[in-house]
Amino acid sequence: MRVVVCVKQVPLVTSISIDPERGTLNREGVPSVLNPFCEYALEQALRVREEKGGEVVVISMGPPQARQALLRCMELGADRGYLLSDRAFAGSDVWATAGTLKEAVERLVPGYGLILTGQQAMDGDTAQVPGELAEMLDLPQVGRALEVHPLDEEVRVIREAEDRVETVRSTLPCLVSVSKGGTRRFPSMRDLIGAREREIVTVQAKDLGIPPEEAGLEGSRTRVIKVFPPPQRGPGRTVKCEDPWKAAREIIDLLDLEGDR
Amino acid sequence: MNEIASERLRIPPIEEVKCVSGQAIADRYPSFLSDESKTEGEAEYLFFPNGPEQVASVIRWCNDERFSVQVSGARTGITGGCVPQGGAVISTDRLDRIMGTGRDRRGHFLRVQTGVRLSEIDDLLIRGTDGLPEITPGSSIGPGELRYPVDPTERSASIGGTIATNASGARSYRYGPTRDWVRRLRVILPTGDCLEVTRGEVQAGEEGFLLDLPDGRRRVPVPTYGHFLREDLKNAAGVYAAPGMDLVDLFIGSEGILGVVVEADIWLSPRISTLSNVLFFPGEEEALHFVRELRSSELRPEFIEYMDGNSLALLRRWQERSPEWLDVPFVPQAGAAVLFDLPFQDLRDDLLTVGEIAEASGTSPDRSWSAYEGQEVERLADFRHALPEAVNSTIAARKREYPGIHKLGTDIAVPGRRLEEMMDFYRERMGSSGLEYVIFGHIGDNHLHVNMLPENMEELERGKEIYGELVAKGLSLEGTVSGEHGIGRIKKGYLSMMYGAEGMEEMRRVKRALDPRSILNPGNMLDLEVCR
Repeated sequence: MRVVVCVKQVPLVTSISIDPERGTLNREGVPSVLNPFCEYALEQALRVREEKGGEVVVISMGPPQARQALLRCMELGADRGYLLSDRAFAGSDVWATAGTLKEAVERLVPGYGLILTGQQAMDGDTAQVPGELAEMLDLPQVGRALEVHPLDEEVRVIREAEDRVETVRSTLPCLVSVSKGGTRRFPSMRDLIGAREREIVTVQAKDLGIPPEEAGLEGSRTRVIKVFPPPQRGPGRTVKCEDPWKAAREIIDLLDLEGDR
Repeated sequence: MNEIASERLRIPPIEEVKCVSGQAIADRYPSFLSDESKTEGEAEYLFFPNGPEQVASVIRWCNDERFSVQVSGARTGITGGCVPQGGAVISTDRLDRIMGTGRDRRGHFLRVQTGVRLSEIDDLLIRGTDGLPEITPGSSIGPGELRYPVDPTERSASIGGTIATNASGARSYRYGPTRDWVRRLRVILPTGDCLEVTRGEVQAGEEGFLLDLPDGRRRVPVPTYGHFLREDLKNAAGVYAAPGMDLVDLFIGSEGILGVVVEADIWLSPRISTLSNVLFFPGEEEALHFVRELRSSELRPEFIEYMDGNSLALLRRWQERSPEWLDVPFVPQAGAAVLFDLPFQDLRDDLLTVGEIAEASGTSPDRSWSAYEGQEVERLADFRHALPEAVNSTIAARKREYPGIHKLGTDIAVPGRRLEEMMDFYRERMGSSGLEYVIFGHIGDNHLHVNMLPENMEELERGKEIYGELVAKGLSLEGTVSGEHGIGRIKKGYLSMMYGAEGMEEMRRVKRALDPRSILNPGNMLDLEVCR
């Protein structure tokens, strides 16, 4: 089966800060990583390939440096990768992103059987793109998947719900967005070398036949007005003690000590 | 020059120092009565001095009153080195200032009070030192440029604790232990006087060191044993000694028995990106072959660590019990693993070289895990650190049935040319012991930990006997009883095995010269007549 995984590079949000005056993210010096949800999606794709054979194709839209996220996918075992990178794509909201991905999937991976995405990206946390992409491609969609098992004509998905775990089946092709669950692999030394020998193709708007007014900022239907941080809290401190009474006393004394400073 | 004069501090009255006494200590600060050795002690007073002057006040008061005093950092040590034996406790919790940056010919350094934690230093260096005072002009450090390379795993350790024990850890393979990174110390002596020593300023002469204190001149002899001179032996046991040694080195690794270190300058090194690797082997022999070849290759590993087959099996058992416990794939069935970080330079060429060595050593570069992105490198570090955690959790579970049970962890290091012989002995002796055990640790430094996990009290006793045999073997191979954990209060017997009566007496002479009433950390390393 031909499995497409749509992935995103995101700033490592744990090291990001917000400029409260300008209402923007301070991204300078912040490392970028493959969105963790996307890595779980890739993991499921690799397992599908291990079960059913076929190939795993990764697609990402982003600036040139997003190539690193695709390289990581290749290191983990993806067969080939496409980087959708064009100034015309800059400023895309979820709608424009889904529209661009739709064209890419249809043109670059004809005959796909399954599309996997991360549940959401940990920078924007919108979780909109998977649903929109499925809608645009007129595919059934299953969300919050933990495991994806291919059958002959269908796919069986174990998904998490609020208070239970469900097993659902869908016809193929379909789109499954994957949550975090199970173990993630490490590439081997040979995988690291091998990934660098396979090609990552850069694709522009014109290659996908997307008119400028439908891509990027212009093709977007929403706009972020303001970004601001929630109220700050100081770092915590752990008091280790078996006896809760003693632990409480120790905390009281720590507070006391703070007051003395 | 081998002379130094002390500095007299303006010492505040003892009443000004925050203090808790009597039963309130056990009720409110029980953690100060124990450490990671899980041994328990007792104390009459617990002081929280807010700076060197208050430390001096407490120490002088204790000295005058002949009260023993235990210095207590973050209590992450595992040899009972800061478990009080009655008397007073000095917490370094409020010695928590990072005082500034400096620069000398060797490079940048950070000036810190000794209650500062390693994690705080790392967090600061990641953020950059903007806004921190510059002790030498223009010494500010940009975000993420530098790091303190000493990495004894336990990041909550206080810098004072790591100096007292000359802490090392995996990266000492490339960077050496704490000793190699300490530029300057301020030390409070039992009289309440302060010594400020910068490396390179005071070196031992034939008669040792001469200290000019307000109450007269003291001669501090330098022991004559040569254990610290042995080539490539990582040693954290006993008072440091070497001809012409620096006075700074006398206090490093002395486990707090000679003075209270209140402030330190620590040198920093460039923060480098690394390529982290775990390579799995069919057995110990292949792994050892790989280590030898890697050490002699042109690659410059940050560290080389080892896990035996039992270690891998134990980790796998814990993974099977709860897969979420560790964010790594299931540990493969293998006879051994070698874990090593390389500086991230030419990934392809370096990995091809490693791959060749791996194949020549009976494994394949396919049987490996590698990472170079920050959080992935952390994931592999978590894997490395998970083993001691699995050991401790296993023991904790057995404690429910046998409360007196504990793990038996060796810390023996030997010179490089003796490593194979030591490993052969471990395999033979432990293999026939009938005990559950794992062997892991700093193989690059010829320093492996054997951890025995007794299942009942009979096994514990058997383990203790075997422990003695392992130490005796290590010493017969010109090794040390402690490569990094120190002696504290639970390995003293082995220290005298190592240094003999004469060596122990030489240590006592150093102790008496600096702390004649033996008030400081009594019972650490040495058995001495102690005050209350």
